[in-house]
Amino acid sequence: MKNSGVAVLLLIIMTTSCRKQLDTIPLDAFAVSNFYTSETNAQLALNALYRGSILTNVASFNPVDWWDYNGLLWLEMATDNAYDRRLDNSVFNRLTNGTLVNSNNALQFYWSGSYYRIAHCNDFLNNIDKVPMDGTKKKRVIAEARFIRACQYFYMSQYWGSVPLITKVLTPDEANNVSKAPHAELIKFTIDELTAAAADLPRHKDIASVELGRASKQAALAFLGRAQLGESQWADAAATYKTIIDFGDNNIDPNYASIFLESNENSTENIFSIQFIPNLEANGVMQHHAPGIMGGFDVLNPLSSLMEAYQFTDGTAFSYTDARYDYRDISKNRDPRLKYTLYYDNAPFRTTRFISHPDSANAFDQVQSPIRQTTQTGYAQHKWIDESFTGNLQTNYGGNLVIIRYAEILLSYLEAKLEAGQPIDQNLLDATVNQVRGRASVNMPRLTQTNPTLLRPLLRNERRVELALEGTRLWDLLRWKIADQVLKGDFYGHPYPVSVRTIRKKTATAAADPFKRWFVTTKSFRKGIDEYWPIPLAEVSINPKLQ
Amino acid sequence: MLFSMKSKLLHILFIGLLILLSADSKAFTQVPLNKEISLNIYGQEIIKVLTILEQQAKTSFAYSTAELELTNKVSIHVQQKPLSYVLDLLLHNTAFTYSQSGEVIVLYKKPTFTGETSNNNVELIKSPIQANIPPPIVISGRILDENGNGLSGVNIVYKGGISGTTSTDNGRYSFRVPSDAGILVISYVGFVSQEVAIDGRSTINFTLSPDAKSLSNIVVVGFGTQRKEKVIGSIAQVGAKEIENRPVTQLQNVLTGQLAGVTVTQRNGRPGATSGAISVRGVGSFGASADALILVDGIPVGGFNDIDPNDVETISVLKDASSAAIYGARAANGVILVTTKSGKAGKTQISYSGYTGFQKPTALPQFVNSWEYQQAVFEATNATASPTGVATLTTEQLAILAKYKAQNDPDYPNTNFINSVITKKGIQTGHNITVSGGTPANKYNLSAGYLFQDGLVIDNSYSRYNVRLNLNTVLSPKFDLTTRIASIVGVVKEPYVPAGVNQSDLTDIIDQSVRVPSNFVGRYPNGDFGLGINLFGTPVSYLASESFRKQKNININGNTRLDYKPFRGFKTSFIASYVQNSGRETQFRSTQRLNPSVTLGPNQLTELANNNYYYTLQFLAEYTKQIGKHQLNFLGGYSFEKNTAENFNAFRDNLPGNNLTVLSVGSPGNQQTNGTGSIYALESQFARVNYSYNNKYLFESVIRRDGSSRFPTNNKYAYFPSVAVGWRISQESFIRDQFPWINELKIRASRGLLGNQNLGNNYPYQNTLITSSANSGGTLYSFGGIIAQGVTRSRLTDPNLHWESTRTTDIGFEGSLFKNKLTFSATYFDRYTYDILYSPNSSVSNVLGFQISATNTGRLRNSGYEFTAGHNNTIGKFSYNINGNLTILENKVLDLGVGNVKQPNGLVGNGSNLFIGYPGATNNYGLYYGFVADGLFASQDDIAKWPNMTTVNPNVKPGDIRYRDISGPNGEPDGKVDNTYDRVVLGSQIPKYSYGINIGASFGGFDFTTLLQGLAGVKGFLNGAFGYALLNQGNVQRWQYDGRWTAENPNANATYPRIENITNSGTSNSVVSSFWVINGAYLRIKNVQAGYSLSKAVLQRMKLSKLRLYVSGENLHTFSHYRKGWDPEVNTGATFYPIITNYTIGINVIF
Repeated sequence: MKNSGVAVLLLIIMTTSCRKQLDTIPLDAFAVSNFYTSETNAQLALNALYRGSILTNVASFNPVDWWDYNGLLWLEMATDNAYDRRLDNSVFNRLTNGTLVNSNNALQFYWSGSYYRIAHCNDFLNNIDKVPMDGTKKKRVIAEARFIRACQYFYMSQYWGSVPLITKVLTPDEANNVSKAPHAELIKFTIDELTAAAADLPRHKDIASVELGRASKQAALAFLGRAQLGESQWADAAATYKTIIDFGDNNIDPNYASIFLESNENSTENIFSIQFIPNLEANGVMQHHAPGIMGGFDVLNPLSSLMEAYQFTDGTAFSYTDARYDYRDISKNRDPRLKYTLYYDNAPFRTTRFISHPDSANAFDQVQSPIRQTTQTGYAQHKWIDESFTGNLQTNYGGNLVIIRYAEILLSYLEAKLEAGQPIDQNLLDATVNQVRGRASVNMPRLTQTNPTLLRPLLRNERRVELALEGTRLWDLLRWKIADQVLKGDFYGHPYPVSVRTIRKKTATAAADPFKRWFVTTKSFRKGIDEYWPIPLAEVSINPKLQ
Repeated sequence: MLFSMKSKLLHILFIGLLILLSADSKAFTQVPLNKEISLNIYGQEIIKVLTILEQQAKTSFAYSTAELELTNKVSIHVQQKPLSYVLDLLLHNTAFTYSQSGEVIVLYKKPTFTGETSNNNVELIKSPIQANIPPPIVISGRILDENGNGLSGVNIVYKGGISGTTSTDNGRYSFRVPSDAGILVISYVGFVSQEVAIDGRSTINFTLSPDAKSLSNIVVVGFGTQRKEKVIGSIAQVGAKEIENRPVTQLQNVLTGQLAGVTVTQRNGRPGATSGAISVRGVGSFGASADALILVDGIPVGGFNDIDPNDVETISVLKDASSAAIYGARAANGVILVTTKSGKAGKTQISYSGYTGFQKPTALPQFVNSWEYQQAVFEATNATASPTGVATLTTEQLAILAKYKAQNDPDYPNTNFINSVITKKGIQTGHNITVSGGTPANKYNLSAGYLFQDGLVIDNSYSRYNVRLNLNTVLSPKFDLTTRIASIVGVVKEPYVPAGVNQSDLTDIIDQSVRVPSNFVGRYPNGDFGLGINLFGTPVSYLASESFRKQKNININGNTRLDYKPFRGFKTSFIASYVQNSGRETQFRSTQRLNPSVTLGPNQLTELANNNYYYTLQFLAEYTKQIGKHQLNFLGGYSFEKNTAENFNAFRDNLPGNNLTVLSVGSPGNQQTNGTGSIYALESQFARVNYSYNNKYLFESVIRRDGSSRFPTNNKYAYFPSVAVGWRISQESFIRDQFPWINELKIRASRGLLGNQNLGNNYPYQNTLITSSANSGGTLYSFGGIIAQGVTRSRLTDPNLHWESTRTTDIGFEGSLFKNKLTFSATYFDRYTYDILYSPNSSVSNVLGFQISATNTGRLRNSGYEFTAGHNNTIGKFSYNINGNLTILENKVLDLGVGNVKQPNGLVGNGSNLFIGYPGATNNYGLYYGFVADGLFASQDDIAKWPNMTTVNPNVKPGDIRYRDISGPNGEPDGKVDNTYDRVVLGSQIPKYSYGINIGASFGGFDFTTLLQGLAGVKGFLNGAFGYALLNQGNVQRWQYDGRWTAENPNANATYPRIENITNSGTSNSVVSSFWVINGAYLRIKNVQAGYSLSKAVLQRMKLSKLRLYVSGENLHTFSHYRKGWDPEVNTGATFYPIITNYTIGINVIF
């Protein structure tokens, strides 16, 4: 019995000591209750807000965030600028070719990525008051979070028109029962928030070099301007842009090609960029966008429609029948931005050439190769592609993704003045569009047209070529309300007037294109339907009120 | 043969004659009297017993019906005893004895003791028992089992004499013996018989030990064993016999089809990888993992697949609440108890088992030739551009096809990638040596095993080395010590992809071999590689690279148990166990030169290490008491478990060359590290009481209190009670007397509550902010070119999280008939799971913006029936058995809680894969929800007549799938096909019926067994490149090509729609519809084994105890309606590595 006593004693000791061990705390996470206690911690939380859902070190296949390369740049594939190499059934092509359905999963990705950022900003803003920190610094971090959140509502209001407006952390039940906020309410919120954020953010010039990448006053104002343009609040937009211009912190970089590359990513022209660095937070953009000759997936294939938008060097519009057109070197006698933006057949690439000719069976980029994923149009994109880079395209490249740059400010300012009916004079043109056209590496002739009606198409074309493949074309077409005219009919790729292999025609029996352009696709944007995206199927299934 | 003679004289004469003929009866006793008999008879008339004996011993009795008191009732329980022994028992209270005469055994009256023994005196034979019997001596005592419980019904016989008796309910006996110098024989079913010299004693107590041979009558239950007839829970068990010699590399696969209610699915055959799950009575949760709790020798383990099947004594599956409740909190989805072999006292026995053989895939998809592939591509491209959908090929396209057909240009190849990757008929071999023996006080079993499984792909293998030592030591009469030490080392080698390639591991390589079409070059004659779709090469070049993945896992576990028996009937045990799993993995992506202009690089090396430490301390106390016919057993216990996991990984790139593959040689410029850890702990108290009255009425009740670190302070602890009752009807006299052919019949019922805490996360209720450097969901961000840590709240947690509970009801009966030749059981079960631990992310709008941690939401029911039936028989040298099991399961979601969204079409659920009233499972693919396909559109005219499908397919073309208009806003077809009203539940991956059939036969030295196994009422879905042609420019399978719709042959019932390019996001034709949801039912010849054992005579000459040679085949054939080239177990979302067919030859030797 003595032994039993010892056993019982042992058991009691064991029991009590073990019970305490049931209180385990995570070894690799912070408790919410005591996290928001210092400025350092607040900064850690803010860092994650900048990151959002952006994927790094991979070729990301889905548009998980408006500021990921495939969220931002791939919207170009829904326009007349580019075609998705993954063919007609690709979700981007189907956003605007007349076959948009609510199960198109790009919608769900944009939706989720937006609300991910919104919810995390809400959580941050909900907790930041607790943090003991300097008042100015606190104002700034709050403004940064509000800027990021407002930008999400900007994008959503532009593409969906009306979505739920969430400004606090919801419970799951609440999330399942939200209603859409009217478009006007979304816009009001966006404009108010951006205005408030701009007030508390530092100016571009005041951002220290170790803080490069953080939102500036100009960044908030630039998005405010976009929101006002989108709502045709021309005068307000003009005023907003004027503020940015008057700060004088930003300017047009003489070297057009460099501002999209790692080497000059901190150019003062770039107002707001998503930051990447090699290895730890690498940008996979080149994996998807580089041409085959560089080992890229070449997913975004520019269309001839874009190529044709580049003027001849004297500022006249392009024409296939013009003697200056040379199919063997399409960039000859053309706006230099053509060659900075596109690879075309026989374009220089490193020490060799980009070859897409249909007869070039052994070239990496033979147009629509029967045995490889190659360009469907005969073009590849040059913008964003850093030819000097060697290494792993997914994990080693650190070039930033430019979200908004000063050239857009100047063009938008002019557009706002023009649409507002304010007088256009040469001084205004010279201060805006001609700055853009006149940068050293572009050096196109000045625009002199001051008649608003005649200037409008020129300005729109200027905007198209200057900002080509930067992710703004679809928004421009929608807000100009011309998507149903532009995104209609047949689209062509590269012209190959001389080839053995037959030019791809629309059908086996169709007549070949007079300019011997490669047939690519047909679009039929549905007026009255496709201007706004439908709420994603999965969301409607969960909350039928969103229908 | 039964004589009934009117004439007494004739009778006497005849018997006398027989006896004369059998002058030396001993010379003849070889055959019938030595025949082994097993009987389990209660209160039968002697005449009936004799009839049974005649059949079993294949002999005949001769006796006088007039003299033998044939209607006297007797009870006999013997197991494999000679007929002579049985007759001694049967006749000991009568005046008769027996003698053998040729094939006939004669029963006759014992001669009286007259001083002279003259068997020839016929007159004496008929005389009644009279004088001259010495004064009787009374012997009494008590018979106990190994636990000190009184054993009733034990036979005690005076050897060679006429007297004997049976013990009473508390094990007591008392009877007269002719002499105090004789020997007592004690025998009882399931126990080793004993012979004890009386030696002049008048009180003799016995303790019987269980008979290993009749282990099938012992069922392993939680914290102990029970005799089968006393079990009232639903427990299914397989023994070593069913496990031995199966060439399975993952132990769970021996259970497939063996047990009612236990469904084992194997999704792929990747060597060294656990693929698939064991589900007991359905899938018990759509949230938390519904995996069964697995214990090896009483210690919970994460998995048991690397255990050498040769080490396994039994695998027992506890299915209902009463049997499983002792494991309370984690038992809701069944408990699997694996018991490893222990040593047996006696001569050292050395045994060897080994097999070797080869393996091949059960099925491989077939792909079209390059010119057919190219034709499909052209058709898809042309038809897309053509407004009419007619895909006329251009002359240029036709010329390309001709080039492929000609097969004389290396740039126009016809490469079969899957056959270039799945190239091997891999060798598989397994060996085990077991040394076992010892004294009763020190028994040991030492086993060492080796397994090698070659993959189907080059440089792919799995090797396993295991050693296990089990020791049973009697330290003193009051202390026993059991020690189990085992170590298992597993090494997996696999090819890996070279640097830069978007895919990663071996399964990706195989997936790519399914995707990459035959018109890509694998390798040119000059040694250059084809560049593949993305200029990174093809599976052919991947396999030729110097990339590799090597994974080594070491499992060490020690388990010791000290039993202390201070007084009779009471035992306490202290159990301590420690298990450590250490894994080490190297992933190397080499540089690779594909051709003069393309070299992949830079190379990359990742080293991963993980450790898992688990320990448990348990304390048990058990008390057994018998009072008259009341038998009581009480068990109480305490256990504590703690698990710590940690991992670490490191990365470098730019290693000089591909030969040195350690981190230190890599470039210091890009070195990355990562690591984390987590802990969980469980504390439990439990108690069980078993009560039985007269071995007839059985009662059992369990309660367990569990505390888990995964729940918040207020909800850490929960109680899980259960109660069970059983009634052995066959013990009632009205059955025993009226239906003597009923050997056993038991009705049982149980009800109880079980828990589940299988959450992937160890801190599910804690509100935390995480930091992550992952590519996806990462929080790192850089400013000014300097990387910064980020922290974010990634999920919303439920501060009131608590246990998931399953209330299980189980009612059944089981029995055996006709001398146990026929066995059967039937069980109804109902498992009602509530407070399901579910992260309802797919049920919550993404407007929330956070992931949701598990919360208690929803209810689910698994109900159904299990049936087993078995028959065994022996006819001469031929014996056979057949056992079948069938499970009918209905799995139904009752409530989704947060996810209860009323859909416009009336269904309540999340609108994608969970709906009330339909099956639900943890993964996203439990249920298929989509359109009902009604063939294909044959023409534009057909499209015009069909309901408007534009919201699903805005640009319908002939050859597209026709979806039915099921309903509309008014509850009836509205002339439109849309996602809202026209999708229905199309089926589930959870099988409604699962069954297995085991057939065995033996004749002389030959034996044969086969196991058939199947599922029915189950749906499958091959998505991605497995199901769709031209997915992301992927390949085309033969069935797709041959069955495709074309404009030339607009067959509305074609087996594949018009060929079109499909992106990862799918098209209107590739959305979930009944066109793609296919019948997943199958019947598989799981195992066939044929063996030959050498006869005793030959073995003696070879100085061996046993030698058996056998051939065996695993997964020999499958009957199904599945897609051609695919194993029906390969399903949606699966990682593809073909399931394997094995052919082996093997040997079992006992020295």
